[in-house]
Amino acid sequence: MNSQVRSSASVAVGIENVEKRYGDFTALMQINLQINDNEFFTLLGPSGCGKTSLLRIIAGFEPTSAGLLFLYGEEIENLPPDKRPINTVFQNYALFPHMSVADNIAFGLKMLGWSSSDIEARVEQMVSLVRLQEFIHRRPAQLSGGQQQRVALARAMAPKPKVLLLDEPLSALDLKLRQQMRAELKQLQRDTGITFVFVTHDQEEALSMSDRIAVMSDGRIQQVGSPMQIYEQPANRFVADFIGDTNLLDAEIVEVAGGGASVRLGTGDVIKSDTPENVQIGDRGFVSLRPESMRLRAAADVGTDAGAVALQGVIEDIVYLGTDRQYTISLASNLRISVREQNVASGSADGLHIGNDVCLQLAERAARFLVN
Amino acid sequence: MQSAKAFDVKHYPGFLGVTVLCLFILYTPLIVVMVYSFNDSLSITRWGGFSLRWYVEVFNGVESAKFKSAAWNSLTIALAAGITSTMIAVAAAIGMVRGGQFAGKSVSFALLSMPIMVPEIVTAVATLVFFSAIGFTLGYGSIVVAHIVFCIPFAYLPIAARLQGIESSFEEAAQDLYASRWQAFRHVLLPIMAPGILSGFLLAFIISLDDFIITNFIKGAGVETLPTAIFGAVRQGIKPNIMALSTLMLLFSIAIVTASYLIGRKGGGSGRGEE
Amino acid sequence: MAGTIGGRTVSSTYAPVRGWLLLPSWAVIGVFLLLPMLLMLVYSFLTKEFRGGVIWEFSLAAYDQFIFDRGLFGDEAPSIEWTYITIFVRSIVQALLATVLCLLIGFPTAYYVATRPARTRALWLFLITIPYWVNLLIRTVSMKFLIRDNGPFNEALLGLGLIDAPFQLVNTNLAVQLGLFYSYLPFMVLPIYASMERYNASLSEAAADLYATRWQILRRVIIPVIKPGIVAGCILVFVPSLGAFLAPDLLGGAKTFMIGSLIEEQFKGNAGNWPFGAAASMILLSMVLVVLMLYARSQAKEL
Repeated sequence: MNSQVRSSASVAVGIENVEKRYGDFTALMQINLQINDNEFFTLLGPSGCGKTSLLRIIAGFEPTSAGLLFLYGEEIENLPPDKRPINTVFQNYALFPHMSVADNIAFGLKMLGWSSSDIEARVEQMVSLVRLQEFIHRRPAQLSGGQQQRVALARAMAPKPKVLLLDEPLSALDLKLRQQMRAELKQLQRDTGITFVFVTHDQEEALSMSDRIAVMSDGRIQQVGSPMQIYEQPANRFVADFIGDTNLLDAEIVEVAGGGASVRLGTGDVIKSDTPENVQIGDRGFVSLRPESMRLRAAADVGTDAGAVALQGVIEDIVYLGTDRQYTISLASNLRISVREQNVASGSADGLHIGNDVCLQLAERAARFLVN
Repeated sequence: MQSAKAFDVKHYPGFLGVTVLCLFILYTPLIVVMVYSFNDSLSITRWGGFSLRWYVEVFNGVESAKFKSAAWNSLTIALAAGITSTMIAVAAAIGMVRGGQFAGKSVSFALLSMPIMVPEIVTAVATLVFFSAIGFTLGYGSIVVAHIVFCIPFAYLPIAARLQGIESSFEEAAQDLYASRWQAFRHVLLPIMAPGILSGFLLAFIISLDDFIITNFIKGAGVETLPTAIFGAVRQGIKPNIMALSTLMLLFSIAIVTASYLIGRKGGGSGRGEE
Repeated sequence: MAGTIGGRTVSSTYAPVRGWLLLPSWAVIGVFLLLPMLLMLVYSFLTKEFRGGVIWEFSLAAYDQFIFDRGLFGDEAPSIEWTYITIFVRSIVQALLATVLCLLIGFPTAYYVATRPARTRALWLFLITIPYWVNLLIRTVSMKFLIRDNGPFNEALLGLGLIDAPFQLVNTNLAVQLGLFYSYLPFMVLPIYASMERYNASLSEAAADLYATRWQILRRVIIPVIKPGIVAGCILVFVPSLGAFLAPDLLGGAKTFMIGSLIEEQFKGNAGNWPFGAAASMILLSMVLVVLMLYARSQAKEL
């Protein structure tokens, strides 16, 4: 990291070695991150991982304990929140209950000293952007959750911030509305070109909206990458486990060849696996196998076609999930693995009953070896 | 068939009776005095028919000048003490509730609640001793100062309670939208806190209006408030005009409670932003 | 700005200016209450001036006077002086009795009001609250009027033929007790009500489901859960009762003297003994502090 990166116009928010401690508790350790201009960037992690602390530090609600913070190349960690051209959509919206929708949206503009005609024009523009023209004189308490959400968005975007921070803004909405708002938010970000920094614990939200995601846990960034990278090439066990469902099996590298390797599982079976770079024979770790990356076939049907078979086991349990069935397979050495099969058409689950012997076939690049 | 109450485990037989008894005890003396204040008879225990003569006497009788000046003193002292202590309490509540963790927090809280904790008679004599030690002339001014001190915790408690119910994201949102700390207070926190501030003020106002013990010690010569005037008058027996005056004060208190109750109900939900 | 400490969010938006915000309250209470208290503490160790006031000479006479009688000129062999000890014991007994009476009436009332449906609950609560706001002096005077020898209470009993001669209540300990109970009853109801309102009624149902009778639920579930409210109510009655002035002064007489009247006597007019009054105040204050510290300790244990 160097000053050229910091001051580069393409880096909206630069975070260098930022730390946050509350007494003895360290909420954030050694955070380094670059959020690009015009990017939809998501901080994803379980509660208590530090994502909200990081967002509050960017907004200026909390001072850093150490480290530097840049906004388009300018150092901002010592500026109070009212001096940062960054606005926030709060988790509970924090709409001022004693002001109308219009007054809420105009608040930041008034504080910035805009002229009343400019304010009026901007408020009008914002309410039409979020389609709230009829509600402009209402109080927040008279609006539905989704409408309040839109007011919060309009209020935060009205002063034309350089970066918009969103703190779990969808968590208070019901499922249908949440899905609809995802699409709207993404569209809004594309239309306005404002850099969005979005905090969520919901992986589906993160995967469906983000350009890039930083997965956080225990006050550290575990991996930064596109949704696809995060899902398909998790950097470590935490990321693999947190994003989507997966089976994690102990494994040891027995052969390295080209881009991949062969690993031996606890069952004694040897399978092909993707690996991070620089692994060597004898390295121990885990293999992540996504439940949907395997095909399940009754042992009786496989017959002589044993070449494609990776693992063998017995069906222990079947759970019907509507679009899918989830099978729990017990393998050798007391290991269990779960497999998902789509319910394509009636009869697809022929021969797959509890107690039946089955074979597992792995899709190309289904297995991913992780050191830790 | 069993009655519904037999199935309600929250129901305790007899509790209604005790509640009625409680209200009976609380109201009987007040209602008796109210009724007798309309008694035409000079003998205060025999009923001589309905009359407003004692009310007329409160306003026009020989003691009316004394009562009027006492009422004026009571009201102006209560207003001055109520407003000042409320302003001090608002600042203190923001410092305590929005000031984060700090070393002297519990000491500060102890100091703020001290006027409630110390027995009133002790506060009264200590204030008297202190004022005479520093040569502070006893009179109107000393009453106001003592009332301000005494009213601070009564104003502080409802204001701090209200503030605790207001999420800090409101001020954060204001600051995020370029408001300075003062603007965030002025435009966002203050309006949201207003019902709490009003009930704090009303409580402080009533407490000042009601105070007898402290006032009685430090009023000096010649200055009377309504309670000290009434106390002085009942030394010679409870006369009907005192009952009329008491009834008027009682009705005034009830009017204020009713007002604060209505305000509290109206402003009750606006602090949370949801609903 | 909120930081999390031990899982609790502590807002600190105004942390940088908190000193300025707290300064007025510290200054006002510090100068006009804390300082006078310290002055009283000093005075209690000084020598009395005969026309009220003090002579700046260290003396333990004020405290000594509470316990020992050394004759008019202080030169006799000390014997135990019971006058003041009696007054203190009477004050404590009266305050304890008032607390118990208020609890007996206040608890069922608070419970009943808190378990009403939301609409009627507000009205009940309003009715309970009104007397709390009425001037204490007026309430005490009203009580005196009611129970006077030829007051409405005695008239009613005479009229009903229950008694032949007026029942003399005024100037008795019973009248003072009645006054204390009447003065501070709302102080008991309101905190218990506040705890009871937060009480989760399904706890009672769960206990009933597990075969507890109503009275077992009351004793083993409700009372333990709302104990903080009960303790707060007891303190709010006990502490002001201990130092009460109006009830013993208006409803009692020489034989019902309590600490409050004793202190008042030392500072009114020119006959008083300031160091003795200061010492009495300090003893009263330390009794209150002991109660409050016990309370604080019990609260800390609850958490």
